[in-house]
Amino acid sequence: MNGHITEVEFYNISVIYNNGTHALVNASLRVPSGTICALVGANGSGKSTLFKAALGLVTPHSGRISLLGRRVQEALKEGLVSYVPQAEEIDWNFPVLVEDVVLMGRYAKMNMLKIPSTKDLQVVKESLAKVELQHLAKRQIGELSGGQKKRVFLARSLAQEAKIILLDEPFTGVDVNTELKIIELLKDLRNKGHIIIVSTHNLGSVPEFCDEVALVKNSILKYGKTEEIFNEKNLALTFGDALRHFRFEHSTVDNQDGKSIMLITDDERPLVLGRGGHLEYSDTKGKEHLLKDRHPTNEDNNDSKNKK
Amino acid sequence: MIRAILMTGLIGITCAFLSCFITLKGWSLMGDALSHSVVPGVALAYYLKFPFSIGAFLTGLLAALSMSLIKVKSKLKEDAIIGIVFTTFLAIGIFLLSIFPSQIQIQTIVLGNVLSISDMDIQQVLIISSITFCFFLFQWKNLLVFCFDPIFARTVGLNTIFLHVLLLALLSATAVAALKAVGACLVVAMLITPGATAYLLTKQFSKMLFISTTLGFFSSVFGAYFSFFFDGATGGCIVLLQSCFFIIALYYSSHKNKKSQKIILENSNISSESLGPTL
Repeated sequence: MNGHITEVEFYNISVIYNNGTHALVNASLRVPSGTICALVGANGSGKSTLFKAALGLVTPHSGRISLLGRRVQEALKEGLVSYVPQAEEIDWNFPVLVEDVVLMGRYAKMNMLKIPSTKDLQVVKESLAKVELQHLAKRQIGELSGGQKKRVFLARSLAQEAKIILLDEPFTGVDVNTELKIIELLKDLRNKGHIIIVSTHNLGSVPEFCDEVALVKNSILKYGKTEEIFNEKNLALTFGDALRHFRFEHSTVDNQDGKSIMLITDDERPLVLGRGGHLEYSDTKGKEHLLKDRHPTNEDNNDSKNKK
Repeated sequence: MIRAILMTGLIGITCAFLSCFITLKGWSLMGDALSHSVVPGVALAYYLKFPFSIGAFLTGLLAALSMSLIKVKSKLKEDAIIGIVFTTFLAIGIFLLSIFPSQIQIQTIVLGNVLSISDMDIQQVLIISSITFCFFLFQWKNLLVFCFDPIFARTVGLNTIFLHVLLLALLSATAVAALKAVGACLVVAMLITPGATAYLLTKQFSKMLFISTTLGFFSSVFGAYFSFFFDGATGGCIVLLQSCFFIIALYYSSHKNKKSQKIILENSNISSESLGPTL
């Protein structure tokens, strides 16, 4: 295969599990270098299967995968791919320290006895510094918070110096600050030419940092620039009934200019605060929630009187 | 007697080293299954007149690979697979011993007899231990990654299938080595207890290896000595000692955890008053 190719390509990938489930059917996707691509889709849509195929954990029944011009096994042997797992996949009681986990990222570059060189230790130190965890290097991984755990695995990924980074739900269970830090780190890697593919349910963050989006529903429904692909119509196509829609009856814009805003969310229920406190839905049409103040103020009462 | 005690000590170290990986990989039941699955191998080896260790190793490995294959090809849970495979192998072994009369007594296989250890047995244990330690010297960090995060292990170019088979083979070989000293029944204890005890006492894998092998050595040596002193079963004495260490470690670690939690609460800046009244 051509080693000068600088993209990841999935071409007509189909995966059928032993129980007969067609996890992916003719899925095609091409991600060039220097790109952050979001994989967006409902649970069970095939996002994880795509990752498993890229990691050689499942063998596609048809199609081919090219990782920087190499077959999957070749790319893995060369250490071109790194994977940041979901928290649920890890045994947090395992007796390893934070620095041990990050050092694992250097194993592909070490000798047979896996004795770390000065450079390896330096890279580990720098990777921990980039995720701001250097002060926790000697902690056992189970002692960390959810956000810190995510950052450890991100640091491990950085230590690998892999060109392709696959992140599986990196924002699950993390606070806003950690999310912002992760996004900044990913943008930095993108600017250096890395290929980053992120599987995420966090729809709100996608337009903020993802250059491209692939909508997944047992295949790649649509793929392209975020500003072109990531809209209400395509999300409805991708998620079907699995989305919540919150329509704001009264404008949330500061000047209350009467414009209506729709909030779309996948699996999380956002806390919406209005002038009177928590806004709850008063009417539901299908999956659409109509929000109103729990305690309407006098101004709101005057507005509704004027409308009548 | 000295020879038997030292050999038991070597077996104890080898088993303890492996037990760290077995405990963390969650293969404790697998160790139990393998120690029983070697019985048909021993029976066949005596009948076909080749070293029983080779027969035991081959059937042990066959059982382990069978369990792995069934797990991949079926939707059965692991405990059911292990239960079916090892009882099948054990049944084959008992059947073979019943139809091919030999000098082996099933009791010897099940309970062990370190007193009857021969020069050939010592050679076999030395060979198995040497091979096991050689593999561990070159592969322990790879095995560590494989046990911790097998998906990640692939991304750093590790051959996880090779590591899986290697661990099974080492487990099988070590079970064979320990068979003579403690018998099939208690081999599983030597493959689990030292690692489990060490796990309670440290957060770092390298320290876990050190603690486990130290406990494995001392419990084996002193267990074998006490068995001569009290004229009791060697395997029983060794495992009882290991269990005592485990209980002490369990008490110590739970006491240490309570103390840590108390310190964390005392140092915490959050008080019930600052959070407001509880409902």
